[in-house]
Amino acid sequence: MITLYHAPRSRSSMIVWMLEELAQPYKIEITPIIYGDGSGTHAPESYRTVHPHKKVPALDHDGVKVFECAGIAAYLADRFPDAKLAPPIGDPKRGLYASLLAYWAGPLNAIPTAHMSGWDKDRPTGFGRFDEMEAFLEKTIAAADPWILGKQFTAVDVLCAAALNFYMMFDILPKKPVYTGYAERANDRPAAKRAREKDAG
Amino acid sequence: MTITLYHSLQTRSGSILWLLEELGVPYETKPVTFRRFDGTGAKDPANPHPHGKVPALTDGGDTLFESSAIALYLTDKHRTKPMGPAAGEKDRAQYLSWLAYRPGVMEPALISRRLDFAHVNGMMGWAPADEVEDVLNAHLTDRTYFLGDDFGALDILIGGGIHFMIQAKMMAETDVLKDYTARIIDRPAFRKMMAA
Repeated sequence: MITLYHAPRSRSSMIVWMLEELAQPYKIEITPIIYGDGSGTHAPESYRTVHPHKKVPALDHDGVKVFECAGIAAYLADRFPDAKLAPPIGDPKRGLYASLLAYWAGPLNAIPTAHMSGWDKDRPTGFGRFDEMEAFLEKTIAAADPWILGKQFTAVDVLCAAALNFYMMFDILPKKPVYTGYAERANDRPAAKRAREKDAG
Repeated sequence: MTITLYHSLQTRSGSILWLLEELGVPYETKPVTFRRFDGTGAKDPANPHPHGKVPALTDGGDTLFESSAIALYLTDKHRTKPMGPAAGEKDRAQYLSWLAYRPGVMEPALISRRLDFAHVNGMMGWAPADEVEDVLNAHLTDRTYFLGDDFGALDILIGGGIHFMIQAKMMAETDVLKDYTARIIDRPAFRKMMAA
């Protein structure tokens, strides 16, 4: 059995989407977190055995624990290959797939965070430059035909579409047609719609 | 097919050189310059990394960037001397979680603290740096290596990271971390990296 530790309208929402794409049975364990606006409550100390920082998402699959969005997405996609959410090991697209997962976890999270916090105003942050990140993102999304790795929708699309939705909502990224067209295409998938309904409660 | 590592001396690409040495696979290095934090250096147009950073790696027609991705790719492909659990093996989930943890939590947390960026819970995708230190110390208290009894890629990516962060005074050298880092750097491949 798959259990997702989830907080509504948080980073774990993208894993609800991932699980809907996977078409495996799963249950959602609503988990308290502190939201960015300071609301919410801390998860109980017992939850630390699931996630070392008591954050969401985390996932338990038959007793196997996984955490971090990119870690969970990579685990699920490899573990359930029938859903074709990852190019298999040895596939020519596997290198780009892995690189984009790691880029998503690192620069694509840290650079926009630094940017919206104003950290990059007058000095380099060490995370990488926002304009270079945006140029790379735009190039990657513009090349999506229709998905980032080609015909096959993968875990990278779930993570990147979720990031685009979030960054455009908060005006961190401009609503360029290249982004909105791709995001609408992704958000229009039946699994994405089901995920939004579940996330809304 | 030759593996080419885009490398710069005493930078993050050293960890991939260390991993390649541990795996025992042939490779060549291509020295590249990159824009350093202090403003010196420039991007090398030959480097396939989107920010011109290191490491990046090419292997035949495959192009990779970001340490965690390169490590996953290499440890999945080269199984003669396993440096990470294969898909389907017991510790695979932990392996992937911690591979994501390094760029997603550990690095931004420690860099943010060094640069005095205030942590806001729920806003950052990572955790406060002191909590990261607690988590790493607790994790390594009863383990010889990061995933248990065998040395692997996480000991290079996270363990090597801890070693250099302690040297740079970005992490506290606790007894646990002192013993652990002494263990992981006492290896021929580490010495090869330091000399390369």
